[in-house]
Amino acid sequence: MSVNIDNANAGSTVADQALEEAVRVANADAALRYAGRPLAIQTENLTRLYKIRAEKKDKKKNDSPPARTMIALDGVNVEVYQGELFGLLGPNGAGKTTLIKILTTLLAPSGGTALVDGLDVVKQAQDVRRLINMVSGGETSGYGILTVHENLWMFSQFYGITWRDANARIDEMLRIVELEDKRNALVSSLSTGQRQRMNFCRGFITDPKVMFLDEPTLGLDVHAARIVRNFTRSWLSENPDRTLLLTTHYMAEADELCDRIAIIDHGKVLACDTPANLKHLLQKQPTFDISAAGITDKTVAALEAAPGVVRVIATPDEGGISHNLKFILEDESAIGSVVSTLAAHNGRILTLQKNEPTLEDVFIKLVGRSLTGDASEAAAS
Amino acid sequence: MRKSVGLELFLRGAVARGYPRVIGAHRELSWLFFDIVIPLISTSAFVFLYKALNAPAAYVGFVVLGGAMATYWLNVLWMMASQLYWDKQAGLLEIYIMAPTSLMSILLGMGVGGLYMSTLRAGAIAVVGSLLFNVQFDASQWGFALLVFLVTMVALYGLGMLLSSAFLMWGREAWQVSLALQEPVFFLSGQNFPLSRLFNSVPALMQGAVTFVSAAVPVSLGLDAMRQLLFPGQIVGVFDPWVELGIMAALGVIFVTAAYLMLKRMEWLAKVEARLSLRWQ
Amino acid sequence: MLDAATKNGTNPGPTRRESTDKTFWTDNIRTFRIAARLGWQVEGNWADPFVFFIFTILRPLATALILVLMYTVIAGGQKPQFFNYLYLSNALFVLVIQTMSGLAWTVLDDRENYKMLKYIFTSPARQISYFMGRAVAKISLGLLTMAVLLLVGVLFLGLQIDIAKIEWGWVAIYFVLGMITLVSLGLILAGIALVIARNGAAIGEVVAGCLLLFSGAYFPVDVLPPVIREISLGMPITYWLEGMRRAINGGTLTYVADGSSGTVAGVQPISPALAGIDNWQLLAIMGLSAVVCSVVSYFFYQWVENQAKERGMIDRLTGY
Repeated sequence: MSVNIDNANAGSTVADQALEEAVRVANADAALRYAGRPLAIQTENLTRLYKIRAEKKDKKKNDSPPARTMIALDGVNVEVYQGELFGLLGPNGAGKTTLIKILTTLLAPSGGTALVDGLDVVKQAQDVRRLINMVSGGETSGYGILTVHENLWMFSQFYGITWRDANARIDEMLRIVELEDKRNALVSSLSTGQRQRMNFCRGFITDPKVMFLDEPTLGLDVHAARIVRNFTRSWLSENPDRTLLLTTHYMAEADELCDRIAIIDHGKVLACDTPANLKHLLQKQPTFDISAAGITDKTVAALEAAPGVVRVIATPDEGGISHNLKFILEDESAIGSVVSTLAAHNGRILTLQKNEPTLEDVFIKLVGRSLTGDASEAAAS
Repeated sequence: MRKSVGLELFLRGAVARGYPRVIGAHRELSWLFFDIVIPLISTSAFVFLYKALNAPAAYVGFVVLGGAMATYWLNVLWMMASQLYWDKQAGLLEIYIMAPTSLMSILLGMGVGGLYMSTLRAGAIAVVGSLLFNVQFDASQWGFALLVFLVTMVALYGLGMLLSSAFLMWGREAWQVSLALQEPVFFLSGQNFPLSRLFNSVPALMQGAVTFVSAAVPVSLGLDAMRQLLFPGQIVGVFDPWVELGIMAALGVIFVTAAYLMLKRMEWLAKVEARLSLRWQ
Repeated sequence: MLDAATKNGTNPGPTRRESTDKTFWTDNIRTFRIAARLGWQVEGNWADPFVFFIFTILRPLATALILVLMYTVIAGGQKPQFFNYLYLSNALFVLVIQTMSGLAWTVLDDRENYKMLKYIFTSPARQISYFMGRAVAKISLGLLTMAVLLLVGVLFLGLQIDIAKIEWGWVAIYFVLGMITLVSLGLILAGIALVIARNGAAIGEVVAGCLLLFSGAYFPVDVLPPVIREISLGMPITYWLEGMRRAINGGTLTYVADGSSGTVAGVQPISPALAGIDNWQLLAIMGLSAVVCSVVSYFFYQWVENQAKERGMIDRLTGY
């Protein structure tokens, strides 16, 4: 079933229902795709409300000002399968961190249920904690008076890891994040990026079954961020029984790493699917731009008739030497017939570029603004 | 990878949390100045006050012992009761809550580590203060005095655990309450004077209430018992040392049990009201 | 790589211009005003005014009660003038602690807790004015606490103050000079706080504790061993406390000695070492202290701020 998301941020009940249906369909597709794999994370109608305290000036005006309630999560249904690297995208204040805090037993939901590896995060919190860990980007937790190794050892003990295993895991993780030369350095002497890398290690030394990464590359330099991404991907592929939920503001990171992505805003999941499918929501038919020389009217006619070609727009360039050809195809595979038709009519391809919407385009379309919150971008798109 | 559960996990967590305290005492030596020299100077001020008042020599000993024991109260107040507030500010509280080991295990580690730190300090204050002011202790009942000290510590750190669970809910109020409890407890515990004189000085109607409140702070009766044992015949105690020992043992059981129950309740409330990661509040 | 003009000395160098900054006083006043307001917000907006008031006076009141008990336990109500000495000094000393600790604590709080210090330093705000403004709240609370303690003392604890005998002129002069001295010393501590780790957070109180011993706050300096007594007689706080006590009491505090323990029978000053200094001499000492402390504190602060910048302490987090 295809869903039109052109009015996704129109604010109408119809639009909300359309999005919910799209999410439901996507979840059903994922269930088929991941058939046989258990659910690592499952939320059903998960809700979280916050009471906003009345400001002092309001109290002076009214004897009993009404309490305001902020809805941080509004009936969220998310299913993450074992072995998935699941992404959570959303602007600031969307509810991503609230969702993670509930799943990591730090916050109680106001309604609904949340299960991690089949265990209720509220009623079986202690059991859940044995299976999870979380790393928050931008956090520099740790005691400055201890060395890197001592800090990591200390955190490992809270998970009951034996000293021998802990030391081995710590050394391995420090090597991966290229911090082994800082093993015996006091944490207070580390730079912010080094502390974040240490924090990253803290999450993985306990070998969690479900890992939560909340913007793990925030503030890391390009090299360190690449190490983190590479490790994240390889950790999952080497441990297919592990699951990872990632929140990020970096679209490219989500696009590169995630098997599926949920886009969340104002406490609601607006879309949940693979990055490719999300992009297809915006643009069903792939478009290609080809710059070619030796194009005649006959060539253009032949291209229009080629199998899989929906439309061709040919524009001569300024010099008149080549043409810019814009193709709309029924399917990506039709590009082969385009290329062969050009070759058959002595056309010479100078450049070939596939155009497809980016994840950011999808985000803006659904949320109505970019991650920077600029509503004009939605209007422009 | 094998992961401990149950008692083994509990003990691992306690050892791990106590470790920074023990190591900190040896690595960061500025405490030698801030936590020994300065309290010694403050204690000296009270010693000279007694000298100015022509107090009996034993009162100097009371003040030195009181100054040493004050270290433990300050440690419980600032490094146990409000420690979870500081950990929240540093982003560590979330990590502790999320870990499978219990918060009691974390607090036990804090307590034992804090006890180690404070004993170094208190010992230094007692030794140096005694040498400076020529304090004569009677060591004939040192074993009993040591038993009283240990039971006092269990009760005191149990109270610290109980307070820390209450502080879990607070922001800056935690720091303000700790600040507010500091001197009043010095007053109610008879840090610088025999506790029995406090009770005799208040109107009869209030004696019961003051005794109750004072006794609820383990340092009060613990200090009183230790003074009776180390300065026999020179002080009128509130109760017999054995009675005071029994009261503190009971307090220890009550505080630790209450801390366990309160911690669970407060952790739940903090999760419902989203206070576990609320900072700068 | 130097270009030819630079090598042969003909390069005029970067274009400089004269500073047109004529806003020194405006910046200072604005900074002070905003910092004072911020200081009140930081101190008090965690509770409603009544709770805040209770918490503010609870600690000094407990200290006062400790001293009252100690006095009652030993002196048993005898030597009322000594009680006056003790209680008055304790009430005045609250101001010493609040002023000295207030400035130092501001530095550490802003740097370690709120992580705002670096933004203050990179803004046009004047640092000294900022710290002084932030300390206004603490100093005001110190004044309020002192007043409450005196009131409680007179009403409930037997403090004997005859309002008709208070020498208001001397009170005002000693107070002003004392505050200049205290604020200057507080600024020195604030400078030290800039270059020490977080565990020095109590540096203000630490120093106040030392002053407790050396300034004759709880007992006459005559009780101290000779060497320590000389140190005490070299400290401005000693004279400030003596001046304020005299002005409030309407004269030097005395007691009636019975001739025992080597004392001469009759009316004797509680602190003979200070009794020989008259009010004008005290005024001269206080005036000189205020001037010296102000100048020293200003230049010391400038120097230590440079040290902090060289060592990167303005934005360093040192908690553990």
